[in-house]
Parts: sequence; C-alpha cells; structure tokens
Amino acid sequence: MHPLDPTAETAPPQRAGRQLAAGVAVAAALATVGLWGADSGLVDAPAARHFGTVLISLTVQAFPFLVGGIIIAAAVAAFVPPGAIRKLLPRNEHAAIGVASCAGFGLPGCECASVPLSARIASAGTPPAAALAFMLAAPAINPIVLVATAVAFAGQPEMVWARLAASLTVAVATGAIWLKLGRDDLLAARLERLQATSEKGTRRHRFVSAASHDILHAGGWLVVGATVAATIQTLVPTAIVQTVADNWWLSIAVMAILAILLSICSEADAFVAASLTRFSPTSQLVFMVVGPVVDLKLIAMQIGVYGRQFARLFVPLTLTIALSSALTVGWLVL
Amino acid sequence: MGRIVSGLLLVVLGATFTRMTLTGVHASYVKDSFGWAILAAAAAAFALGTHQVLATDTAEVHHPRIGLLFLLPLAAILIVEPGPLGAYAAGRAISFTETAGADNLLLRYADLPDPVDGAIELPLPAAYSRAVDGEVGDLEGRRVRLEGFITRRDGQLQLSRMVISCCAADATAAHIALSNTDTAGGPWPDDTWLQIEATFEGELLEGTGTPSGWDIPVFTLEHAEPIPQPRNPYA
Repeated sequence: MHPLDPTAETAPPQRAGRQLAAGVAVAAALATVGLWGADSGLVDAPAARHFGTVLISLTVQAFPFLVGGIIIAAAVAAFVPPGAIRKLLPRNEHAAIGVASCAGFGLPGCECASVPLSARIASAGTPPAAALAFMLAAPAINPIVLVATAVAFAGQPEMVWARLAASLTVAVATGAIWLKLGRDDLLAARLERLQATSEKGTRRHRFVSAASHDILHAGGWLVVGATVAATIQTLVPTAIVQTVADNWWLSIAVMAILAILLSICSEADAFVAASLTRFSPTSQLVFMVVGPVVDLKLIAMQIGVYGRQFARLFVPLTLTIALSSALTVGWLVL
Repeated sequence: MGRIVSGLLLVVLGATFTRMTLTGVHASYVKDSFGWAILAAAAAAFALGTHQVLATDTAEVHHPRIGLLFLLPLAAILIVEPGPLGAYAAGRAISFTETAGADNLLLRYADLPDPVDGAIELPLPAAYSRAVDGEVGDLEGRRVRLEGFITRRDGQLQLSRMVISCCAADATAAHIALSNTDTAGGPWPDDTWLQIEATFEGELLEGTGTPSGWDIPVFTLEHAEPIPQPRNPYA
C-alpha cells in the first residue's frame, strides 16, 4: 500500500498483490519469448532485437516524465497539509467541484498518489464530490502530462488540447454526478477512520518513501505497458493490427481495454498511445482519457482506500463518462 | 520488497541510465536531444535510492514488487544491447508520410540546400518526399548524397531510414529503391549502413513502398560507401 495512505493497515492487500503477481508473470513470459526466445528458435534474432529496442525506448522516454511528476506529487502530498487545500475551495459545492478539477492542473499528482491524497483532502472536510473530481483531474491534466503528450505527439498539438478538454470534462462531470447521486455514505466510514489516524514519520522521510514507492510502482506498470506495446509491434502480424485499427468500433474497444489492462501511469501513457501508429487519433485519445481514470491498478487502489462498495459504483460510472467524453471530444476536434 | 532492495534497484536504474546517456547510447532509442532529461531523472532516482539505503530515520515501508519489472529493460540495456531499429522494423513500419504529423515533417525539408562536392546532401525522407510528391519534385536529374541502411522488399534492394517523432516505439519508415547496385559494389546484406551518391531519374515503383502500398522512387547509384552506424540513426 501507499506510504501516504494511512488506511494501509486496514486495506486488503492480497487482491492487489495477486493482480501484481499476475501482471509480473504475464510480462515476464512475454519478455522471455521476446528477448531470449531467439536462442530457442521461437522468434528469429532480428525480431528479438526489435522487441528489446521498443521496450527500452518506451521505458527510457517515459522515465523522466514519470520521475518529474512523481517527485512533485510526493512533495505536494508530504509538505502541503490537506486542510490548506480545503481553505482554497469555495463553499458552494458545485463551484468547489470546478475549482478542485482545475486545481489538478496546478497540483500535479500521478494517479498512484492522487487516490490516497484525495481521501486525505476529503477527510479534512472537503466535499467528497470535489475531492473525487480532484482525484480524477490531477493525474490527467497536470503540466507534466500535457508536456509529455505534446512530446509524444510531436506535430499534433490538437492532441494536447483534446486530452485536456476530455479529461477536465470527466473530472467535472463525475463530481457533479456524484453530488447528484448523494452516495457519500459509501465513503463515510473510511473517511472517519482516516480522520482518526495520524501521519507517520518526518516529512522528509514521507517524501522520500512516497517518491521511491511511486517510481517503482508506476515504473513497474510502465514496463508492463511497454512489453505489451513491444509485443504488438514485434509479434502480431501487421495485417491483423491494421485490420483492428481500421475498424472504428473495434479500435476504440481495443484501446479502451488496453488502457484498463496496461495501467500505465498518466505521465507515460502518451508514449505508448503514440507508439500504436496504426490506430486513429480518437482511439489514441480514448486510451489516454480512460487510463488515468479507470485501470486495474487504480481499481485496486480505490478499493483499498475507499472500499469495495464505493468502487462497484464509481468504476462503471467513471468508465462510462470517460468513454463518452473522449469520443465526443475526438469527434469534435480530431 | 524492503527498503534496501528497492533502494538498490533505484541506484542501479539511475547508474544505468546515466551511463547510457554519457556514452550516447540513448540516441539509439530516443531523440538525441532528450539526453539531459534522462540524465536529470537518473540523478534523482540515484539520489532517492541512496537515501533509502542509508536512511536511519525510518519506519520500514514496503515497496511494490512490481518495481522488479524494471529488471527487464535493465537486462535488455546491459546484456542484450539491441541497438537501433533496423531492417526488421523497416519491413513492418508504416510510411512516415502516413502519420498525422507528416505535414509538419515534410515542411522541415522545404528548402533544397546547395550541392557540396557535386551532390546535394539530404536526409533520406526528404529525398523520398521530393521524388514522390510532384509539388516539391525538383529532384529529377540532380545528384544527391544520402545515408541509410540496406533493406529488401520482394528482392528489391532499398536504402531505408527510420523516422521517429519521439522515441523508437513510434518509428515510421522511409525507403528508396536502388538500381545499378552491382557496379557500385553491391549487393550488401540487410542492415549495412551506406553513404550513397545517386540520381533520381523519375522512375517510381508503384505501391511497393510500404506494407500499406505506397509508391517508392528509384535512385540510380553512382557511388556507395559502407559507413559505421551514425550516432543518431534516426531521421
């Protein structure tokens, strides 16, 4: 569990652990086939080298953005008290949702940090709808993510604006709908328990352990994503990839499913999206809007921090909103 | 994974990426100019890892085991050293003219430079688009000097160059077909880097340029010389 997450003791880590183990096993198997299968004759040597080149390039390209975003997020989480954020928000709940969503731009957080951070903010008295809007906005629209997107889609600046518009819409719409649903009872127990716990360790120690935890966590998922992208590029016949990419509905569905399974950190996902060169810009946008909102890693974290009942409602809700928002913006802009 | 193991993992990660940047190897995988960012991130990872290993003011924190997956790219960098994309990738990639950013890319090659030692030096994608595109097609009969590596499509010898907009994972390909190869010292095996001097005489092979069927211009070789792989293998 996350070092900034004071519910760590009460959360069920086994399920997340099993998912991680499964991810590790799949990626290791794929990589063995790709990298060392050459000797066993499974793949010829040029294919193995190609796999290695793509895997390394995605990891190396995304790493600086990952580290930059995580360090800023860890610093915010460790040094800015949660009460300070509540004081910045207007009293009107709808306005608070809007401001909290936009605060995602100024307070960068990668998604691993933003789930526990949002719980902290909510336990300090912020309306849960606004805290949840912040949780969705922070990893999706912060400047590091937008710069990474601009770098990954060099020559397609409209991709950056599309991502910003679609993800901001997801955050605001989810916050507003959550307010309407009025199901704060689903998180009340967790938030009360959070209020009762105190933070452990010195601030500097919290910063260092949060930053290194997140680099390893997000980096591990980045390698999973890079491995799958390298496998698609190396082993899947180009004719099949092209067929999927040329089918509008199929390409959208495949990219949404990939976003959920690969669980790549938002600071790194633009590079993986851009590497799938045969796919349409709208399907690439779907990948980048769904990923920071719904993926395996986030579902595990939301269950851990907010509880199973919450996730059962929140995950389908955010997935629907993210898909509609990305498709609408893609249809309008791309 | 405990504090020491995760700390050491970050230290090794930082050290490997630092070495990669200082030796210039990173240019085989990402844009050469991106080196400073990798170096800065590597330094941060190294510092965090060192702090973790040496820390005394700490309660034990458990770090996610999934981080061990970093060992995969690390092993690939340190043991396999796959190098830049070559003929295998070139045979699978789409044409660089098919990406959404292609227009901006073509603009970059708008001006034709003056000849040096009797030949115009051009990036291979520029030669390709000038030969294929009638709008900018002022290349006919001009002698050009190009660098690229050897690939084959249906037995036809080609000179190719991978084009990246960001990193090797998003690479697209530019190809030209070569004729008159025997008198210039060929044929060469795939992935041989060559500097050639050649002339475009207006001939196009239709629909053979990429897996998705683009035209490919034929350049008549006048001179070819094997060269070492350039530090920056991408256009």
